[in-house]
Amino acid sequence: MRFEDKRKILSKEAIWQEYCGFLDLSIDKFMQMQHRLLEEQMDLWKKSMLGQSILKGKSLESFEDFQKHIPLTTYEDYADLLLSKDSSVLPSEAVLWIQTTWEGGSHPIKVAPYTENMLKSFQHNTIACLLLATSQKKNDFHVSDKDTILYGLAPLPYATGLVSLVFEQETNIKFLPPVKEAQSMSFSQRNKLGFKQGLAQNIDYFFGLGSVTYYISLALDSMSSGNSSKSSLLKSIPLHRLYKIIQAKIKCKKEQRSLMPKDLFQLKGFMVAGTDNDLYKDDLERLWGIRPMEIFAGTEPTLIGTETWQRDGLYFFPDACFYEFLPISERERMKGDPHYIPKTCLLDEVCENETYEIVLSVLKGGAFMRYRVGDMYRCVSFPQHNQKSLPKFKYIDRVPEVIDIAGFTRITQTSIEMVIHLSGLPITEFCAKKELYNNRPFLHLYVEVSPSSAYERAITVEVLRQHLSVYFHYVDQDYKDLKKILGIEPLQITLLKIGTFAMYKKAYGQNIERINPSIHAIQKLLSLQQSYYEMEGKI
Amino acid sequence: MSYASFSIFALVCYFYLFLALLASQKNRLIFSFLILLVDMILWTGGSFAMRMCFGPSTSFWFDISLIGLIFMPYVFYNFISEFIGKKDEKMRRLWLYISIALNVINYTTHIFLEAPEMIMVHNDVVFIYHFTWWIYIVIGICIICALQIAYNVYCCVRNGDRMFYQFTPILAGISILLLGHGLIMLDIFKGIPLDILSGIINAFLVFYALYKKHLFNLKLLVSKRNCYAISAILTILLFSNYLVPLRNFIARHFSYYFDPMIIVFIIFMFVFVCIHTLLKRFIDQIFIKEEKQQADYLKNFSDRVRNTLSVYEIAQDICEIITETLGVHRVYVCMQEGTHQDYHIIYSNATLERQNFSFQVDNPMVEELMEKKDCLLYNDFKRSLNYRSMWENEKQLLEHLQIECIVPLIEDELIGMVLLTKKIKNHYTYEDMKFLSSVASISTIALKNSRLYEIVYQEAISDEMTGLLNRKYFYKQFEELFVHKGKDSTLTLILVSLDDVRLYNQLYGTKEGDKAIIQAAQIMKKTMPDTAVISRLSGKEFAILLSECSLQTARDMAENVRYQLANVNSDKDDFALKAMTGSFGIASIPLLASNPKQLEEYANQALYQAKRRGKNQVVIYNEETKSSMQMQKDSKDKENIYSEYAEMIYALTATIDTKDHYTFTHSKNVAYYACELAYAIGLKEDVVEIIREAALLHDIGKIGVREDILNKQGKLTDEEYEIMKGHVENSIGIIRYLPSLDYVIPVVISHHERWDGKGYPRGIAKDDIPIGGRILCVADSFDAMTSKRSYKESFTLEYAIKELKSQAGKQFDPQLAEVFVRLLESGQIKLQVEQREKNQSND
Repeated sequence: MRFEDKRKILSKEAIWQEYCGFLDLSIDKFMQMQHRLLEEQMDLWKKSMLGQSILKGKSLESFEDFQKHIPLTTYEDYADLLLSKDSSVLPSEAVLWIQTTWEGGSHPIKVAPYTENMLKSFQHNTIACLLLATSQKKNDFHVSDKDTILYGLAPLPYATGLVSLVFEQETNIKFLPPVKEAQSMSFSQRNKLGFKQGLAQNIDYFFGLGSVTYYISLALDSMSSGNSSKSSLLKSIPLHRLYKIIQAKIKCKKEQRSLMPKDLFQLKGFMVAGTDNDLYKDDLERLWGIRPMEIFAGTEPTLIGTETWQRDGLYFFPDACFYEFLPISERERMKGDPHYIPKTCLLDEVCENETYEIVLSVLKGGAFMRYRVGDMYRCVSFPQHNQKSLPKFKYIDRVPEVIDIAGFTRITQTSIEMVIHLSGLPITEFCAKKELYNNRPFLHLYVEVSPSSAYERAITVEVLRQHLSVYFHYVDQDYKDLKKILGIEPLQITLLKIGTFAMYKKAYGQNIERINPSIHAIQKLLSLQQSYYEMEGKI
Repeated sequence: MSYASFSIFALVCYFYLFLALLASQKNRLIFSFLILLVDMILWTGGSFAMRMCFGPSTSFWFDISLIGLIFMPYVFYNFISEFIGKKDEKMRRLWLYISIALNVINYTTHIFLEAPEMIMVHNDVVFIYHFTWWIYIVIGICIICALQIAYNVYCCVRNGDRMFYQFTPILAGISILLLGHGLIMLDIFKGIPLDILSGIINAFLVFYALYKKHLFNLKLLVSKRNCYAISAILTILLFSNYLVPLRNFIARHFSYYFDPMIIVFIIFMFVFVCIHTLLKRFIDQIFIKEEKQQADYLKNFSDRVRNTLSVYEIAQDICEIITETLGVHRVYVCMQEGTHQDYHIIYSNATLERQNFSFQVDNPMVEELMEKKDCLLYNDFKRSLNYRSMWENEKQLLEHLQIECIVPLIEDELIGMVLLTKKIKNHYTYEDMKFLSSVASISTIALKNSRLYEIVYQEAISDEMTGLLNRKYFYKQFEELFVHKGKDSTLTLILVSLDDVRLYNQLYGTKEGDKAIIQAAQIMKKTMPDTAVISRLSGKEFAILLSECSLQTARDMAENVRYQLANVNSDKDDFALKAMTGSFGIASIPLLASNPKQLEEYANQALYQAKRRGKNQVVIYNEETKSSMQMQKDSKDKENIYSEYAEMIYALTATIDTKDHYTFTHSKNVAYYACELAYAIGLKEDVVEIIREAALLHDIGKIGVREDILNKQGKLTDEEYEIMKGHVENSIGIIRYLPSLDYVIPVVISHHERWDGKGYPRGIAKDDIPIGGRILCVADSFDAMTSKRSYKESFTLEYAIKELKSQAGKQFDPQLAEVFVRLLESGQIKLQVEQREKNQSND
C-alpha cells in the first residue's frame, strides 16, 4: 500500500508509529533489532563470493566472528568485484546500481548495489524523513496530496535520485519541475523552471545539499528582479498567487530589503543533506523562515539517519545499517601501526561528546561490511539509565584525510599530488587544510617551491592559484561543479618561504601532516616562517 | 402526517441516538456529539411542547426551543473542532460566550425573536412569528460561525490532516439542515416541517460519520434498553392516534361487561408486548443471529476441547471452528515444544500445502504477539516496529502462506499461535477478532493441559535416553497385540543385544557409550516400519515386535539394522572408535512359538546363539538352536573365568622376558604394586584380578619396539620417543586378537593417561580414565623410578614418594597417590627392588 493510501485510511498516530515509531525505541530494543538483522546479513554475505573474498576462509557464525574475522574495509576491498556490476557475486541480487565519483581512487567512479529489500528500507525511511520534516511534535505531520517540492539534487544513478523515485511511488507530491523534464535540463534551467512553477503553485518542500539549497535560494532574488523573464512569469501565475507576490514585494520595499523565499512560500518541510550544512543552516532559516532538517545518506550506506522536529541531533534508522564507531584513539593507533586491529564501539557503547569515525555494515543483502565510509560523527547525547530514548549524533565532517567542500568534492593527498604533478609547477612541499571564510568553506593550500625555480620562473600566488585551479578542474569533475553550480572559488594559496617545511621538521621532529593538519600546526608553520624572516633580518 | 408526528419522530430519533451513545466508551468527540444531540432535543422538544400547548406556558417552551436554536452555532463549532482535532479552546470559549450572551439578551428583552402569537384558525392553533431586523444579527452570527467552521475544515484538508471525504456526511448534514431551514420560508413548503426533518437527517449523518471513524459499535443501537424504548414509543404513537376511536368502539360494544378503560389498557399492553417481541425478533434476526450462532459454536467447541487430552484433536477442533464460523480458507496451528523453543506446526487443514515450517522463538512476530496479547492482523503487523527486524525468509514464509491474521495462544507466555489466511468473504472485522480471542483463550488452557499430559504420558511409557518404549509398556503392548490380533495372526519378535557395551564404555567413556546406544535406537526406529513396537528392555537390549511380518522379512530388516550399526563409526575421522555391533535373535508366532512367553523365550535362545557364534549376527530360532542351548547348559560353570587365561598371560610375559628381561621384571613389579593398591582402596577380587593381568600385559607391546631403543643408554630422540610411545597401541594390537582377554584392554590402553589429561594415547582426564588405568599409572611410574635402567640409576624411595606427592593431581589420581604413599610409608607395600636384592642375597 502506498503512503498516500495509508494517509487516507489510517490515523495520524498509526502512520507516525509506522514510520517514526523507531524514535521511541529503547537502546536495548534498538540493539536487539540491529543484531537480528545483522545475523541475517552475515548469513547472506558469508555465502556470497564477495563475502568469501574478504573472509578468506574464516568462519562467520557469530557476532564474535563478525568482529574478529571481518577486517575494517574500504572501497578498495570491493572495487574489483563491484565495478563489474555482476550481481552473482553479491549477497542478494541488485535491483539498482548507484554511483558516485571516486576521488583519489583507482577508478573514476564507485558503484554500490541496492537490493530490493534495501530499497524498501530506503523508501520507508525516506517517508519517515518527510513526516519529521513537516512535524512540530510527535504524531504531528502535515502532508497533503496537493503538495509540491522544489528539488535541488542530482537524478539517478546518483543516490539522491532515489529520493525522487520514492516520492513518486509513495506520494502524490509534485516535483517542480517534474522529474522527467528536469532530467534533460541544466542545473540553472531546472532551478528557474522550478521557481517559476513554485510561484504559480507554492512550494511546500525543499530538499537538496545544504550548499546547493543556499545558492538556489539566493538565485530567487536575481530571478525575480530580471526583467526579461518577468512578463513570461506573470502570464502563468494565478491571481491569488499574483496577489501574494505583490504583497511580498510591497513588504520588502517597505522593509528596504530584497525579496526572500519566505515572502513568497510557506514551506512545510525543508530537508538538507551532505556536508557543511551547519555553515548554511542559519542563512537558510533566515531566507525561508524555517530551519532545515538534516538527513544523513550516502551512496554506500543508503539513508541512515535523520534529525527530528527538534533539529538537535541525528537518530540512526535501525534497519538500514549495522553501526559501529571507531574512536579517535583507535584511529590514531591504526595510523601508527597498519596491522593493528582496532576495537569499535556499538551504538550502546558510545560516550557522550566523543567523536568517532562511523563503520557501517549495510543490512538486507548489502555488499559493504564493516565499511569505513569516511565520515566523522559526534555523540551529542546518550540516554541515561532506564531512559527510553536513543543516542543522538551530530555529523562533524569527512575523516581528516579527506577535504570535502560544501558536499561537492572530496580532495585527498593523492589528488593534490596528482594536480601538482600535472601542473608541472615546482612545488616541493605542501599541506592543505579546509578553512572557513565568512562561514563558507574553502581549500587552503600552503606551498613551498623549489629554490631554483624562484629565480628561473614567474612564481606568484596568483600564478599558482590559476595553474592549480585549472588542473583541479581537470582532475576532479565535482570541483568543476563547485564553480559552475555554486559559483564559488574554493582554492586559496599561501606561498611559504623556501625552507619553512624543513625548519618545521627540524623544530618539531616530524613533518607537518599533508592533509588537514591542526590549526596549531599551521600556526606553528607560519610563525616559523616569521621567525625565519626575523632571523634573516638580524643577520 | 401531522407536525406533531414529525416532532415526535425527531425527538425519538434524538433520544435514541443519545441513549445509544451513552452506552459507548466516551471521549471528547462523543461528548461533543452528545451536547449537539441535547441541543437538538431542546430545540425540537421545546418547539413540539410549545405547539402542543403543554404547560406551564407556550412562552416557556418557546424560550427552551430558542435556547437550543441560538446555541446551535456553538455546539456545531465545538463538534467540528473536535472532529478535525483542532485545539482552539479560545475560539470555542468565544462562541460559547457569544451564544450565552445572545440567549441572555433575548431571554430578558426578546429583542431578537419574540414569542409567536397564537391564533385560533378552524379550531387549530396557529403560531405567527413577528420578525424584526434584530433577527439578522443572530442569522449573521450563525453565518460567521458557519464560515469559520468551513475555513477550519478547509485548513484541515489543505494541511493533509484529514481527507475531504471524511467530512462528506457532516457537510451534507449541515447543508441539509440549512436547506431545511431555508425552504421552510417558502410558501410552497408551508406546513411541512422541513426544519425538523432536516434536523433528523443531519443527526443521522453525523452519527454515520462517527461510526465510520470506528468510535463505537453499531450494535449499541440494538441494545435491550433501546428495544424497550422504541416499542414504548411506537405503542404510544399508535395509541395517541387511535385511543379515542378505540375507546368509543369499546364503549359502544363492550361497556356492558367491562370498563372500557380496562380493555384499552389490556389492548395497550398486548400491543406493546407484540411490538416488542416482533422488534426483538427482527433485531435478533439481523444483528444477533450471527452472534448467537457464534456463541453456540464456542460452547460446543469449549465442551469438545475440555473432554480431550490430545493436542492434535484440540488443534483439529480449532481449525474446524474457525473455518466453519468465519469461513477462513486455511488455518495453521503452531505450538512450542517446550519453554524457549521454536514454534512448530502441529496441525493444518491445508493438507496439500507445505506443513513443515516453524517459527523461531526470537521471531519478531512472537514479540509482537507477546506485546499485544491479542489477535494481530498481518497488515497491522507489517506496519509495526517489530516487523522491521524480520528476516526476509520469515517475511516470505508468511507471504507464501498468505497469512492475514495471527491469533496468539497466550497465557503467561506464548505457547502457540494460530495462523489464518484470508476469509472467503469480506475482511476480518472487529467481531471476528473478538471471536478469535475467545477461541484462543479456550484453546490455550486446553492445549497447555494436553501438552502437559502428553509429556507426562510420554515420560511414563518411554525410555528417557532413547525415546523408545520402556520395558513395562512394551510388555503391555505385547499382550494387547497378541490378544487383539488373535492366535492366527503372525507376530514376530526380534531381540537385539548390542555387543561389548561394557568394553565400549570402558574404552571411550560412558558418554560415547550412551551416544552409541541412542544411535542404535535411531537406526531401529528409522529402519523398522511405523507399525513396529520398539522398546529398550534394558541397558543394551532392545525388542522389536512386528505384526503380520514374515520371518524372512524380519531377518532382512534385522540384517539391515546390523549392517547400519556396524558402520556407524566408520566415517568418523576425529579418532577411531571401535565398531558397535549387535546380535539379533528372532522368533515368531505361530510358526515357531504359540504364546508370548514362548516367543520371548525362543527369541532369547536365538540371541544367545548369536552371541555364542561370535556376536554381530542375526539368528532365527530353530531346533538346532534349542539343542545347542541344551549342550551349553550341560557344560561346567566357570567359577573364575580369569583363571582360565592365566596360562596364556604367563606365556605372553615369558615372551617379553626373552627379549627384554627388565620389562618382564617390571611387569611383575607393577602387578604387585597395582594389586596392593587396588586391595587397599577396596576393589573386589575379580576387578583386582583384571588389574593384575593388565599389569602383567601392559608393556607387552614393547615386543614390537626395537631393542636398541629399549636398551638405549641416554635420552631418547623425539622420533625414538614416538616409537616408544607406540607400545601402548602395540599392546592393544596384540591383546585384541585374544578375545578372551579383551577385558584388560581398557586398563592397558589407559596406563599412560594422566589425571590432568596430558597423557596419551587418548588424552582423557580424571574419572574418564578407568580406575584400573589410574592404578596402573601409579604403579608403573613408581616402579620405573625405583628400578635401575641402562640409562639411569634407581632413585631412592624417599625421592619416589616425594615425586608421587608432587605429581598427585597432575600425573596421578590424587587419592590413589595418597593411598599408595601411605602404604609405602607404613610398609604395607614392600619395595620390590629390595625384595629382589634380598632374594638374590638369600640365593
